[in-house]
Amino acid sequence: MNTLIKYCLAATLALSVFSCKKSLDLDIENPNRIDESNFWKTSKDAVEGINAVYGNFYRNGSPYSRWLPYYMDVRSDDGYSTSPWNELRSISALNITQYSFEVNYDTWGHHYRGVYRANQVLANVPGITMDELLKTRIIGEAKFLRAVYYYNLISIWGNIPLILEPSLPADKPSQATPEEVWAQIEKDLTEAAAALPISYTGDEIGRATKGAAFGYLGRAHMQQKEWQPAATAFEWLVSGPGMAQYNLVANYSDNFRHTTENNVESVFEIQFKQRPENGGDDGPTSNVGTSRAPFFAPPGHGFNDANMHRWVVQEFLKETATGGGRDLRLAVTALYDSTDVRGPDFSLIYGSTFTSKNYDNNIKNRVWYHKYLDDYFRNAGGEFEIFNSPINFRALRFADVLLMYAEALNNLNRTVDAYAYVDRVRLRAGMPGLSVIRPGMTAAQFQAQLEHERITELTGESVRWNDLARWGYFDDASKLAELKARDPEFDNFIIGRNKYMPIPQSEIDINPNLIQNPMWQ
Amino acid sequence: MKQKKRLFKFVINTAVALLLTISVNAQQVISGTLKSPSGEPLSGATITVKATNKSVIADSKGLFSIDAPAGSKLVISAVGYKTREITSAGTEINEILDLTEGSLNEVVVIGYQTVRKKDLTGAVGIVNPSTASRNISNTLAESIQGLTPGVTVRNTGAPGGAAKIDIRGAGTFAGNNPLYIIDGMYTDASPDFNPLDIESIQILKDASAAAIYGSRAANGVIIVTTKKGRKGPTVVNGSIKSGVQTVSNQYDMMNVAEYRALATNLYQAGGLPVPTSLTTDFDPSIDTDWQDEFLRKGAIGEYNLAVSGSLKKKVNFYISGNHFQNKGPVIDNSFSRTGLRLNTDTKIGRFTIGQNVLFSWTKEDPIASTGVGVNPFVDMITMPPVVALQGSRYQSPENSEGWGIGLNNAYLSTLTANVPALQSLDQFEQKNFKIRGNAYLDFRIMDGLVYRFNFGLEKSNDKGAGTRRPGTVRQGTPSPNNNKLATFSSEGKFESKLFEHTVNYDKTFGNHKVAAVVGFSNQTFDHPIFRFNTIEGNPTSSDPYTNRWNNIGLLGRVNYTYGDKYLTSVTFRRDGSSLFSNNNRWGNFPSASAAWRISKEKFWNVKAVNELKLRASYGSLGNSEFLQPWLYYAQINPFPRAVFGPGEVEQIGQIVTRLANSDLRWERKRTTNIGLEASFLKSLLTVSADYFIAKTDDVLVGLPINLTTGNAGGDPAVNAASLENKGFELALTFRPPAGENFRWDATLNFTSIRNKVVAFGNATTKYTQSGDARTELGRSIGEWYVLKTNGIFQSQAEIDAHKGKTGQVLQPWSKPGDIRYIDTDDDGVLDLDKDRYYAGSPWADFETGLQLNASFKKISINMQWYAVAGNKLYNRPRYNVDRMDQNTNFRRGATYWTTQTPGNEWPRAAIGAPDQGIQYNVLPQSDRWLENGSYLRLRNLEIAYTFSKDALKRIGFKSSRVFISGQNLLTFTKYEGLDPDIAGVNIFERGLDNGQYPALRIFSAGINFGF
Repeated sequence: MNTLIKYCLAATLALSVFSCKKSLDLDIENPNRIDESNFWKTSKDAVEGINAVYGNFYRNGSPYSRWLPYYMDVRSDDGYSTSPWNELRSISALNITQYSFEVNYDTWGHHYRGVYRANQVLANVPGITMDELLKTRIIGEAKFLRAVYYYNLISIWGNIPLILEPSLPADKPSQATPEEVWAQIEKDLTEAAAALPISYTGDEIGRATKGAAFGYLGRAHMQQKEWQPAATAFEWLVSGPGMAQYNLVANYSDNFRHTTENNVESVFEIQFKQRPENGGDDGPTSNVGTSRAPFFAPPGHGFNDANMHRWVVQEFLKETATGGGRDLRLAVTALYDSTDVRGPDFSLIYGSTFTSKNYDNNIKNRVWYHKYLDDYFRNAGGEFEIFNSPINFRALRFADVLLMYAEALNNLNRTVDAYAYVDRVRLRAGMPGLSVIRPGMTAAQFQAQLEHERITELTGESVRWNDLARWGYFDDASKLAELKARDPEFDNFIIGRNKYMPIPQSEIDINPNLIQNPMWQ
Repeated sequence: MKQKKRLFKFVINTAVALLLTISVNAQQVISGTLKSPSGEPLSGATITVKATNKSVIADSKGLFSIDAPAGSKLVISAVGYKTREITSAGTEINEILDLTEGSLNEVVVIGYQTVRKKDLTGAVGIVNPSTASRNISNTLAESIQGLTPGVTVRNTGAPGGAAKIDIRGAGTFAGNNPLYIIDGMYTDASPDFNPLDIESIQILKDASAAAIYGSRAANGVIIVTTKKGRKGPTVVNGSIKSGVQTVSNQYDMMNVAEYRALATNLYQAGGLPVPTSLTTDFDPSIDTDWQDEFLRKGAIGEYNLAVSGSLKKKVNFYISGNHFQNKGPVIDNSFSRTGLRLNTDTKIGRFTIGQNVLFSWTKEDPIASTGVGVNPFVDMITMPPVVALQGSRYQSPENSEGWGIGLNNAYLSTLTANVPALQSLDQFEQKNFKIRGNAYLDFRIMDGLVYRFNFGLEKSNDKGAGTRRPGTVRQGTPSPNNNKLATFSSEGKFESKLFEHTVNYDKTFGNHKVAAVVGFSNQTFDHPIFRFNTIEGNPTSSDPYTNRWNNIGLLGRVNYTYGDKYLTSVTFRRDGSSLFSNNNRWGNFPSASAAWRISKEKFWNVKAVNELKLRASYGSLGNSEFLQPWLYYAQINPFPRAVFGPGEVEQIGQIVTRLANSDLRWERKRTTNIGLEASFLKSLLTVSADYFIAKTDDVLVGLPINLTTGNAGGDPAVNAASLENKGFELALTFRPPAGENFRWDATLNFTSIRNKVVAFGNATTKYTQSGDARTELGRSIGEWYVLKTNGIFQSQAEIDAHKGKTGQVLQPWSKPGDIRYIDTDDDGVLDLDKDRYYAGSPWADFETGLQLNASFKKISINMQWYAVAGNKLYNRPRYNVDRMDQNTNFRRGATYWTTQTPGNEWPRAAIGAPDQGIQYNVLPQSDRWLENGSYLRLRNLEIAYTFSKDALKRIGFKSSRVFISGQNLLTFTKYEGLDPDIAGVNIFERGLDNGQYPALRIFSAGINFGF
C-alpha cells in the first residue's frame, strides 16, 4: 500500500508539472477585441462610437454609396433600367418578385445597421463622464443620423419597425404606424437641431450640423404636407440664424465634384474618399468610397444599369437661359448625344466624342444620369468607373432647401413670398427670374412651375420619388396616367401597391410580427 | 537518433536488395498465410514454435515467417479464433482458422479502455480499414461512406476537400462534425492523414459509448488507431497506386450555333435588340466549350512504404512514408500530401513508454473563386459559347490579357465569370506542415492497475501565398486595383496540447469482472492567424487574429460483467470550457448501459442462433463545436471609419457590429439506444440492429436573425432549438463457408433516420428560413418551401379558367405558355409568400451500403454499392441556365413555349423579363427546380490478383498483389445535375446543389507488396 501512495504522489506531481496553470484557465483574455462591457467609458469611446455610425455609410452596397438612387431616381418616372440583371431591373420596372434579392435585402439591412449603431450611441454616451459640450454634440449627431435612416426607411417601405434601443438577437419587432415613425423623426431632428453646432472646423467638417437637422426636419414635414412646420424649419437656414452659413455656389457643377466638397451650398454630405483598398465591410481594408458611378455609367465605362428618360431633356429645353442658350444645368444633369449643345461630334463620353463611340441604334438614343459620374477626371479613354469613387454625395443641399421652402410657402398661400427663393435657384443657373417672366401665378400654377424647377435643379439627386409621392402622383389614377405617359414602366404601377417596396421576404420569413406591405403579399 | 539512423539504413538496404532481386536465403524458414474462413487475412495472429519462446505475428496480409527446426510444432492463435497446433511438414503453411464463439471476439477501443466486441453495451460501429482504404479519398470520412450503418457521408470531389459526415443524423444545426481520436489525441478530420496507416476504426454512436468524451462527443466519436510494430521479424509493406480522375458527368450544353439561334429568339421575345455578337459581329470561329476549358483529366498517384518490427525485442516500431499526389480534374487545381509516421512503444519493467507521431506536408492549389458572384461550377455552364476564352476584342486597361467576358449590352452582355481566366490569373497555394501525435507513459502500479500519462500534440503551420495578376474576369467588377498586381499571404499557427492522467483498473474475481477508468483531461488551443497582402507592392492593412480556448474534463467509467452474461457500464464526465461565460462553463454528462447475452444462458438451446445479445443504453452528451472563443459577449469592432475634413482624414470608429447572446450554454444530447446482436448458423449470418432516439436541447447555431436588429458580420450564436432524431440501423453479414477455390461474403448495412425540430429556444419562433428551405417546428430541418407549379397554360382560356375560390383569376398577368401556380392556401389570391408549400425534404428516407467480396483462386473482386433514397435536391445550376431571362448558355434541347412549339415542360421565356408572366416563370422559389435526389452508385469496384508465393520468392518478395479499381463507375439517378451526392451549403439548405464540386470517377491500378 505504501508503494501505491508513492505512485499516487508521483502521479499528482506529474499532473502539476504537465498541466500548467495557464492550460487550466477557463477565463481567457481576448487579445483581439474589446468586450462591450469595457467600452463606452471615456470621451474617446464616445467619439469613436459616433464615428462608427457615420462608418455605416461605407458598407458594401450601402444606400448612399450605391442603391438609394435606384429607389429614388431610376424607379421614378425620370429613369428606366435596361440592366441585364433582371432582379435589379425589376425595381425600376415596378414588378419585383424577388423581395429578398441582394439589393432590396441590403438596402433594408444597411439602414437598420445604421439605426442600431445610432441606438448604441444614444443608449451609452449619456452615461459617460466627459466634456458635456462634446457629449451633447455626439448625442445630437446620433439622433440626426437615426432620423436620416428612418426618413429613408419610411420613404421606401412605408410600414416599418421603429427601433430605438440597442437590439437583442431575438428581437422580432412589429411595425409602427407611419405617424409614430414620423413623430420620432421629428423628435430626433428637433433635439438634434438644439444640440448640434452651427458649423465645424478642420478635420471635423462633414459632421452633422444644426442646419442639417433643420433641413431634414423641414424635409420630413414636407413629406407629411405639414407646410407651416416645414417652412419654420427651413427659415432657420434661409433667413434665420443659419442664413450666414448657406448660399448657392456660383458654379452649379461644383455640387457634384470631389474637388469642391463641403462648400457653402452643402447642408449635409456623405463623405467619400478613394483609398487603395476597397474590400470587406467594417474591416481593416474597407472601402470608404462610393460605388454609384459604375452602375450608372454608359456602356464601356459602367454597367449602364440605368438610363434617364429623354423627356427630362425636353423639360430643360422648354426654356432658354437669360441671353439665349440652354439651361446650363442640362449638361451637368444628362450625358447624351447632345450634352454639348453642338451635338454628338462635340459631346464627350469620358474624353471621347459621342460619335466616336459608334453606339448602335439602341444605345444611341440613351441618356445617362450625369451627376456623380467620374467622367470629369476619369477620362483618359477606355476607363471604367470604379467601386470607390471619392465624390461626396450631397444628401441635402441649399438649393433643395430653397425650393422646398418655396413650395411650403406656396402651400401656405404665400405664393408671392415664394418667388424670391425659386428665383435664387434659377438665377444661379443663368435662367431668368420667375418674378420677371411669370409674375402673378396662382398657387396651382406655381406648383406646376415648382415641379419643373425641381426637375431641372435636382434630377439624379434621389429626391424625385418623394416629390412624386408628396405631389400625389401615386394615389390618383389621372396623375398616374401622366407618369405612364412619361415612363412605360409605370404600366406596372398599381395604386395601393407600388408606392412602397415590398419588405424583404427573408425578414418576414423569420419574424411573424412583420406584415408584408399591401398587395405585395 | 541512432535508432532512427539504423532504421533508415535498414530501409535502404532492403530496397537495394529488392532492386537487385537478391533473394534472402534463410535456412529452415517456415512461412505462410493465415486466413479467416471468409478469406480475410488474419493480421495479428501469433505463431509460436511450441515449447520455445520464439514467436512471430502475422502481418496485415496474414503473412508470417518464422525460423523453426523442420518438423517442429507451431501453435497458431488469434483473438476470436480457435487456437490450432500444426506440425510443419514443409516450409509453407497456409491455414484457415476457425472462428471461436462467434465473430464477436474482436477487441474494440472505446476510449481510455478496450473491450471485447462481445462485451459491448453501447452502439459502436467498426469499419474494416482495408475496405476503407480501397477508396481513393481525401479524408478518412470520405473513405468510409456506405461502410457502416448510421454514418452518413456526403462527399465533395475537390482535391484536398473535406467530406460532410453525420453520425446518426443531424443532431445539431451546425458543427455536426464528429470528434476524432487518433491514437488518444483529440483532433478533427483533415486530409493530411494517410488511410493506409490505420489499424482500426471504431465509431462510437450512442451516448453510452461516447460518454467518456463528454462534451466533445455529441456528434459521435471516430476512434482511429494507427498501426504498431510487433515482435518478430521486420516486415516491409509497400504499395503503389495510380490512376486518372475525371468529372464523368458533364452538362450537355449548346454549341454556338444552337445557342445563337435560341438567344436571338429570346432577345427578340424580350423586345431587346439582339447583341451584335450574334448578328453583325458574329465570329464563326468562336465556339467555346467552357466545360472543356475549365475541366481536364486529373490524375492520382499514391505511394506507400511501411516498415515494422521490433528492435532487440524491446522497442516495437512502425514507420511509414506516404506520398499522395492529386492533379485535380479542374485546371490549376491540385493537392498533394507527404507523410511520415513513426510509432514506437518500449517496455521497461513496469513502465511502457510509447509515442505515435505523424509529420505531414500538404500542398493545395484550390479553385479560385474570389470575386463578386463567381461560382466556378455554375459559371462553366452559364458562359455563352460565343465568348472566346481569350481575344484582342476583350482587351482593355482593366483586362490586359484579353480574357473573354461580357463587354456591354450592344455587343455582348453576360454576368458570368470567365473561370478559366480566374484560375490563370489567381495563383494561390496553401501549404501546411503538421505534427500530430501523442506520447504516453504507462506504469503498472500493481496487477490490474495501470496509470497512464498521455501527452498529445497537434501543431500545424499553414501558409498561403498567392498572386493575382491584373485583369478582370467578369463584366461588372471594376476596381482601381484590377490593373494592379496583388499578392496575398497568410500564416496560421495552430497548436493544441493535451494533458491526460488516467488510472485503469481491470480485475476478474471468479465470475465478476470489473474494468474501470478514472481520469483528468486538459486540452489547450492556440491559433493565431496573420495576413499580409499587397497591391502593387504596397502593403494593405491587416488584422492579425488569435483564437484561444481551453477545456478541462474529469472522467470515469466502470464496466462490470457477470459471467459473460450480464454486462453493465456506467460513465460520468464533467467538462468545463472557456467558450462559455463563467456561469455556464461546466456541464455534467452521465450515461449508463446494460447488455444481456441471452445465448449464454443455460436455458438457451436454439442451436440456429449461436449468439444473441440485447443492449440498452441512455446517456447525455454535450456539444460546443459550433462556438468560437468569446462569442458569449458582444465585441467592439475596431474598424469602422469615418472620413471628415478637407484632408479626408479617416477617423477611427469603434462599435458593436455583431450582436451576441450572453447566456450561451452547453448543447446537450440525450440518447436512448436499444440494440441487438445475433449470429446464426455458426456465424453464417450475423446481424446487428439498433434503434435510437436522440434528443438534442439547446442546439447551438447562428440562427438567422432579423436585419432589423442591425446585426452584421454573421448571425450570433444562440441556443436555438431542440431536435429529435429517431433512427434504425441494421448491419447484416452473410459469410458462407469457404470452398477450396471460391469464397464470398456480403455485408449489407441500412440506415433510416428522421429528424424533427421539437422546440425553438425562443417561444415566439415557429420556424426559421434560409433561402428556399424552411425549418419549422414539428418538421425536418430545411425542408423545401416553395411555390407549387402545375404545368403550363396552353391557352388564354386556361388562364381565365385558373381561378381561386373567390372566382378571381389567379394569374391575370399570365400569357399562354406561362407556368400555372397553385393557390396552395386556397384563399383566392396567388401569394408569393403564403402559397408556398413543403415540397420535399433534403433528408433521405434511407440509405444503404453493400459490400461484396468474392475470390476465386488468386483472383478477388470487391464491390461497394451505396444508395440513397427519397431526398429532394435543389438544382441551382439548372436554374441558372433554364431560367432563360438572362444571357447564358442553355442546355442542349432547351426551348421555350410558343403557339408553334407548345408543351408542358418549357414555359414562355424572354431575355430581359419584360412582363410579369415571365418574371413568374423564372421564380427561384418554385418546385420547378427541385429534383429527386435518390441514387444508386457503384462506389468502388476492385479486381485483384495475388501472386503465388513460389513465383514471388524468386524475386525476393513475400507477397504481392496487383489490382485495378474503379471508383464511382456507375450511378443510377434521375437527378439532372453533375452529382446527386450533395453536401449542401449549410444545415438549413442541406439539399442545395449550388454548383458543388462533384464526386469524381477514378480509374486506378496498383500493386501491394511485402518482403
